[in-house]
Amino acid sequence: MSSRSVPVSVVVNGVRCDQDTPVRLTAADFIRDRLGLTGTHLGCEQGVCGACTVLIDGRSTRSCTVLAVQLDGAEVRTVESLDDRGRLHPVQEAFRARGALQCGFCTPGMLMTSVEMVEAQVTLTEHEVRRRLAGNICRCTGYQNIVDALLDCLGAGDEPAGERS
Amino acid sequence: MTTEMTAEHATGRESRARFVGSSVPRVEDTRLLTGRGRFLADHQLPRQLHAVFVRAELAHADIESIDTSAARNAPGVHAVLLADDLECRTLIAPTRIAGFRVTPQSPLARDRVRFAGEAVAIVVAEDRYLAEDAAELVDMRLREKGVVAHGSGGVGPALFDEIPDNVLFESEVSFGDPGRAFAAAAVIVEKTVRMAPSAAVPLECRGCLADFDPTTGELRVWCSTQGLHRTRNKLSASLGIPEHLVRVFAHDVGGAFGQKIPIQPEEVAVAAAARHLGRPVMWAEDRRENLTAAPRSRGTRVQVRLAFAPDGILLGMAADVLGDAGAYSFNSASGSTEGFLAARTLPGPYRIANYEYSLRIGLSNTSPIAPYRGVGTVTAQTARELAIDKAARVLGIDRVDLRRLNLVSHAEFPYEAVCGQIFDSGSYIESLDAVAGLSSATIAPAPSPRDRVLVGVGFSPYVEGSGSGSESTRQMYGIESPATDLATVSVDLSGTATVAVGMTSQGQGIATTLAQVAADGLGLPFDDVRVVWSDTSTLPISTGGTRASRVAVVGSGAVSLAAKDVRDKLVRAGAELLEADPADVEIENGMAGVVGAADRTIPVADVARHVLSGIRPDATADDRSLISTRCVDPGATFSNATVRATVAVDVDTGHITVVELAAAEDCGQRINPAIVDDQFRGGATQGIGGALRERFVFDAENVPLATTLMRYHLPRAADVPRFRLIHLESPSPWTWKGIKGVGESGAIGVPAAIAAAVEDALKEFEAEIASLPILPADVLALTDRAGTHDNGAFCTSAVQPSAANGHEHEPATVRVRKEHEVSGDG
Repeated sequence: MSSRSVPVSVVVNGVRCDQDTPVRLTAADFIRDRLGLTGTHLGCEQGVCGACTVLIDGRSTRSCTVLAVQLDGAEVRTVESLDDRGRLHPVQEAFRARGALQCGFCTPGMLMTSVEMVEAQVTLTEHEVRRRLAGNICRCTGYQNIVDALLDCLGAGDEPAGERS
Repeated sequence: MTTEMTAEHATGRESRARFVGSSVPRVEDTRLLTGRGRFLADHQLPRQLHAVFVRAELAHADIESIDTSAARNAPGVHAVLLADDLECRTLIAPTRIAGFRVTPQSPLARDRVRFAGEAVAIVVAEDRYLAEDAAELVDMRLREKGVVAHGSGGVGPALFDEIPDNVLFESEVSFGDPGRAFAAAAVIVEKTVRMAPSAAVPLECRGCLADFDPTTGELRVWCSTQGLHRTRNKLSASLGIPEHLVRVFAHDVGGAFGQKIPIQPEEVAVAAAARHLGRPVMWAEDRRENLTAAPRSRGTRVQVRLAFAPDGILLGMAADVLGDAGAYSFNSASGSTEGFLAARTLPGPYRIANYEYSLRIGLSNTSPIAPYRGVGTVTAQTARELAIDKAARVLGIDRVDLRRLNLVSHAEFPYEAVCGQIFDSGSYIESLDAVAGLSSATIAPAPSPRDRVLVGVGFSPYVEGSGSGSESTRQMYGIESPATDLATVSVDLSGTATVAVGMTSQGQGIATTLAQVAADGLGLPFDDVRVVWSDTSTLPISTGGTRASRVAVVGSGAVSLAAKDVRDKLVRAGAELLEADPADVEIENGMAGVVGAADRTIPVADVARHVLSGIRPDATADDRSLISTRCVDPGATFSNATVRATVAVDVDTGHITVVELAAAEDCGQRINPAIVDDQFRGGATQGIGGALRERFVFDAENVPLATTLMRYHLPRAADVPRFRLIHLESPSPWTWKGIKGVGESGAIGVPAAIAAAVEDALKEFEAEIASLPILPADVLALTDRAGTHDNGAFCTSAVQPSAANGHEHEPATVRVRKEHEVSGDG
C-alpha cells in the first residue's frame, strides 16, 4: 500500500499496538491483516451488514467504515477478547445454549453488538432487541435464537418466558 | 438399490440410538463463537499476492481495446492479465439434457462482454489496495450493443452467433389427458406470478486463494464452495493440471444456499494467475461484485391454469413457464434448473392426473443463474397456491377444505405424482389440518387509530424432494445421476473415531449430525467421534457436494454403513477378548460387553488396540483394519409441510408486517431436532425476503442498480416474526432410519403463504398478486382501485395523513414505481 503512513497507538483487546499505519487503511483491515485478529469478518465493506462490528471505546462500530488512524488513542475490543482460553463469555454462552448461529460468519459482529447491549444493563423487550439488531444481518438463522440468547442475557423483558421455546 | 440398502441395514445388531433424534449441541459453535472460524479470507500464505478483477460496466458490448500499460506500471503491481494471457480452457460442460444448449464461458471475457460485471482483466498486486488502484487505470474501450432484458425470454440481439433466438431450452410436455380435463371442467382459473431476480447473498462472498508449486506441479486452492471435488475436477480440466495434483480446501463457508454450487469463472482465473506468477494469489470478492457478478437466481414467470369439477376436485393443470439463464450457461445444471424445476414441481402435493406445460428458457444480458434454495419450486409453489385460493373463491369452497379435498392422502403412499416423482410417505393433509387448527396469532393494535391495518392469513402446503441420487434424478429429469458421496469411518488405537466426508459445511452442522450418526453406529460416546471435511487430499470423493437437502439422507446413509462395518470388526475382536460368541457382544457408550453379563465389559480402546496391534494369529490383513468407506444411492424421498402466514397490511403506507409464521413440517426421523428447526427458520426467513424485500433492479441498459446491501434488502431481525413449528414424522421407507432432508423447506413454502395472506388481507379490493416481492408501492397500487369506488375516507387518509407525511410518501412511491418500470419487473 503506497500511501502516507502515520503513527497510530491503539489498545486492542488489552494489548497496546504502536504501528505506522497507512492513512487509508480501514480499521477492519488493520485488525485482520496487521494484528491477525481474523474473527472480525468482512461481509459487505459498505457499512451495512455489521459482521465487522467491534467495540471502540465501548461503542459498537462497523470497523469497515472507520480508518485505522481514527483508532489512535482508542481502546478496541474484538470477538477474540470475549472468551478466556475457551471459557465463554456469558453472551457467547447464551448464543451457544440457544444455538444462535449457523455458518458463524455474522456471529462475531452479532456478539459485539450484543455485548454492548448487555453491558449497558438495560431491560429491553423482544421488539426493542430486534430493533437494536437492525445493524447486524444474519442470513442463516432467521434471528429467533439470537434474539432469545440476548433476552436470556438481558432478563426476559416484558415477554413471558413461556413464549420462547 | 433402495431395497438392497434397507436389507443391509436390517442385518446385524445395532447399538441403541442415543444421539440420533436428540438435539445434541453443535460441536461447531464454540469455535465459531470465539472468532476461531477459518473462512476463506482468513487464510494467509507466505508471499501471498492479492487479486482484483476489472469488470465490464456495460451489459452487452464488443471489446474494442484494453490498455493495461498504466496499470502494469502502477506501484506494487505484479501482473495485469487478460483472457489471452491466462493458460486455461473455456468453461463448458457436456449436458445430458436433450435439446439444452450450453454456452461456453471464458474465465475472463474475450472480444465481447455479455453482462455488466463480467470479469475482463485480473490485476495482481502486493495488497488489495494497490490492486484496486491499478484496476482503475485499466483503459477498456467497449462498443455497446443492444441488450436482452432479464425475463424477456431472449428478445433482442443474439448473445451468441450460434443461438440467434437466445433460447437455450424449449419443451412441451403432457401427462395424462389435459385437453379432456379442461374440456370437462366446470371452473377454470388462471394465475400468473413472476418472481423478481434475486440471489442467495451469502454473508461471506465468494473468493479463492490459489498456490501453484512449479517444482511438484501441485495446485492448492482454498475456496468458498459447496463442492470440493467438483471444483477440483473443473480446475483440473480447465487448467490442464492432472486431477491428483489439484488439492482443494474449504473449511468454514459463510453461507452458500446454492450460489456456491457451480465452479466460479473467477476461481479458474485466480488459479491461472497464481500459476502464471508462481506466487499465492488471494481473491476475496467484495459485496459489490457479489451483487453484480455472482450468479443470481429466480426471475422465473409461471402462468398456471387449473381445471376443477363443480365439487372442487382438481381435474387438470396447465402451465407456461418462462425462465432466464442470464448471459451464460456453461453447465446445464445452472441454466436449465430453475425453469425446469418450476415446471416439474408445479403439481406439488396434490392429486393431479392430467398436466401439460410449456417451458422456455432464454438468455439475457445479466449475470448467469445458479441454484438458490428452493430452486424453481418457490415460484411454482406461489403461482399454484394463489391459483388454488382463487379457485376457492370462484367455487365458493373454503380454501382449506379445497386443499384437503385434493391433497394426496396418507392411504395413497407411495404415490406416483403426475410428472413421475414417487412420493414415499408424508402427512400432507395432517400438516394442513395442524396449522389450520392453530389458534390465531395475536395481532398488535395499529400504531395509530388513524392507520388502516388489514389482517390476512395464507396457507401453503408443499413437498420438498431430497436424497438426490439415481432414483430422484430419474424421476425428476429422466436421467440417472447417482449419488457418489463417500464417507470414511475409522477408529484409532485409542478407540476414538474419525468420520471423513467430501460434503462441505456452510452452517448446517454436519460436524455434529454426522458425528451423531457415527457415534450411534459405532456405540461410542459422542465426544469420541470427530468429523473432518475440508481437504480433498484426505477425503473420500463426493461428486454431489452439499446441495438439495442431501447431506442428511446421503451423508447419514453412508456414515451409518461405514460405521456398521467398523463396528462389526470391533464386535468380532471384542468377542475374542471377552471369550464370547460375537452374536452376544454389544458395544454401548465406548464399552464392549456381553449381553446379559454386566461385569464382562472392556473399553473399546482395548478392542481397537487388539485389532490394530494385537497378536491374532488367524487375523487377515482386513481383520487388522478399523476403517470402512461406503456410499449409498438412496431412494427419492419427499419431505412436506404446510406453512400458515399471518400478515398485517397498512393500506396507508403499503407496509406489510409478517405477524406470524406457523408451520407443521415432516422430514421423517430428525437427526437433530434443533438443527431441523433452525434450517426451517432460516429458509423461511429467506422466504420472507423473497416475498417482501429482495430483488435485483436493472436500468434500461441492464446495468444492476442494487449494488449494495442498502439497495438489496435482506430481512433483518425486526422483519421476522417468531415461528411456531409443529413436527410430524412420516419416515421414508427408502432411507436409513427414514430420514428425509429439510434444507430448503421454509424457503419453498413461505413466499406463497405470505402472498396468499396479503391477498386475503386485501380481499375487499379483490387484489391479485402478480409478482414477488410485494413492495409497499404494489400494495398502494392494488388498493388504489378502491378510490374509484366508494371508500372516500380511506383515500383521504392515504393521501394526506399529515403534510409532512404526505411529502415523504409521494417521492418514495414514485421512485419505487420507476424502478419497476425500467426493470420490467411488473
